[in-house]
Parts: sequence; structure tokens; C-alpha cells
Amino acid sequence: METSRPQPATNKAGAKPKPMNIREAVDMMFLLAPVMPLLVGAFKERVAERGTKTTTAATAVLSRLMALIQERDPRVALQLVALMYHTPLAVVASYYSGQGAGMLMGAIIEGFSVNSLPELVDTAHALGISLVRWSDG
Amino acid sequence: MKTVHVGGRDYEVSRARLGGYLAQQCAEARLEDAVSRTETDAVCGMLFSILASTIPVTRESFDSAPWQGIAEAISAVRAVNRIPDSNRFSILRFGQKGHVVPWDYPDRARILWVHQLGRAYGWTAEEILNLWPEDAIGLLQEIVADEQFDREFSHSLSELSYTWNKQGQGKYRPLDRPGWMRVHLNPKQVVTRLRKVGLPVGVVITGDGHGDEQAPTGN
Repeated sequence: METSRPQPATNKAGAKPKPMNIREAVDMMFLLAPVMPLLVGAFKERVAERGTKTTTAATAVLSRLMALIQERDPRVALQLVALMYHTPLAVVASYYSGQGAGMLMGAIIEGFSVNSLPELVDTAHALGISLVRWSDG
Repeated sequence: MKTVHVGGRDYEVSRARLGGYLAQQCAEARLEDAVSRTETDAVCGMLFSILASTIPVTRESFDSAPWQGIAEAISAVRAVNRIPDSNRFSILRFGQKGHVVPWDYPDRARILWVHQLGRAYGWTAEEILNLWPEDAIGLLQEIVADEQFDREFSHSLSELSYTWNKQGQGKYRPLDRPGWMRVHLNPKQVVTRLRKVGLPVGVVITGDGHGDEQAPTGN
């Protein structure tokens, strides 16, 4: 008898991302801490270019985040999805193994819609995990 | 008083008394350690301790609550428990920080405060831990200052506090005071007079970039 394969709770599998609990959020802050100054810098640059804080700046930051993840450690993208969708890393890894990077990025962007990246950066700063605040941007 | 929302419940954040304040400070110090070791479990444990020092949140609801509510609650607890006008206490501004004695242990701060205040005033631990933190700091500062004056008096009675020259004349060497007792919080303003010729000549550029203020002419 064939057993059904566990599906990750990603947006592409029909599930919606949820706000993380504090443990998941702290894990994510530690994961993102090395790139937080670069993300805030990217936001600052974009705001300076446009003269105002717009959603375009937020998109630019997420693109920068994906580029940094690809450059440093692509596994971080899977970890972010696992944390924001409350799904074991192994399940996420097997689900996205045959998919394109675009799907993964879509899942991360949707995950950040309920787990605000600026709030994460500011909380990481308040806890001493990051040296930068989003408001610095 | 501020209301925060953690795990589906509203809590009113009110100022902690000395016991809660010390528990929070102890957790803050251990949080710093946990962050430096990148230990998620320890960080979460210390965040729970910080919250639990002020609001009656359970570990279950803390663990399952959305992180944004917890972050907001931590920020509120820190803001509410900040000591008003802490700069007026010299011992806080200039006292020795980060000095760890060999017999230190995690909860020692609470015991030390109870020991010092209880010995000086004869209060019970419950009474001491129910003080407002700023009152306790003020009292502790006076206790430590009194102890220093006692030491200075004992020192002045000792022969070791004098140096003797060849003529047999003694010179008193006072006991060193800790740094926080030497610095004046409100130093006397020294009035410095400048001769008119020493003042700048011409247009003074003000902070907003306008050069419309005329400086006094020299000579």
C-alpha cells in the first residue's frame, strides 16, 4: 500500500505561512544576522535613490537577501521556509529539490508578509543579535 | 501602565519592585551571554525570565505565542522598568561594572542586595525586595559611602596611614576613595572671561547655514 508523501506547508502546496513562535524567530535572527547590515544598507540606498520609503525598496531588499543567500549559503533559503511555514527542513528540502529558485523565493516573500523583516531586524537589534536597526536605513 | 498581548491574553505591564527588577537585570546579563554563544534555547529561556519578572505569563503560552507580541512585550517591560533619572546616582554612572568575584553565582545580586540593606536597616528580605529600585539604589549608595567613611576613620588611626620624613614629621596619606565618590555629578561652572580682542570678527555662520548673525567687532 502506498503511503502519501508528507507535503510541506508552503504557499505552493496550498498552506499559508504563519507568524513564527519566538524560538523560530530567534533562529531566523541568528541566520540573518550576518547579512542584516547589508540588507539595511540596501534599503538605505534604495530609499535615497527614490527619495521616499516605498514598496519598491522592500522588494529591492528581498532581492538583495536572495542574492546574498545564493552567494553565501543556499541552504539558508530552505531554513527560512522551514521556519516560516512550520515545516521540517528535510520536508522542505525534498519538496524544493526539483523546483526552481523562483518558487523558493516566492515562498520566502510570502513568509515575510506575515513575519515582517523590518520588525525582525529591529528585534534582533534589541536583543543584541544585530548591530543595526531597520530605522537606521 | 501599558497593555501587551502575549499568547491570546492581555497583560498590564506595571513597574517591577526591586525583586522583579533584579530578576530582570540578571536575565538581561545572561541573555547577553546566550546571544554571544548563539544558543537559541538559552536566549528564549532568558527572554521568558525577563517577561516573567513583570507579567504572569506561562511558559506554554510564551513558547507558542507569535514572536511579534513577545518582542513588543519585552520592549514594554524594559521601558517600564527603566530607572527614572538614573544619572543622578553616581554609583550607577561611575561605579565599577563587570567586576566578577571568584565566589559569584547567577542569583548572587539578589542575595547581595538583601544582605546589604538587611544588615544596615534590619529589614526582612520581603520588605527589601518590595522597595522601588531607585530607593534601593539610593540607600545602597549611602551604605557603601558610610562603609568607606568608616574605613577612612580606621585608616586614619593606623600608623600605616602616615609617612615619616627624616625629621620625624608625619604626613597623612588618606585612603583612596572609589571613583564614583570622587566625581562631582554637578561640577561648579567655571566662568572663563575672554578679552574682546579674542572674539571672532565678521559674520558668524550659524548651525542652519545662514550667515546673518553679526559677531561683535573686535579691537
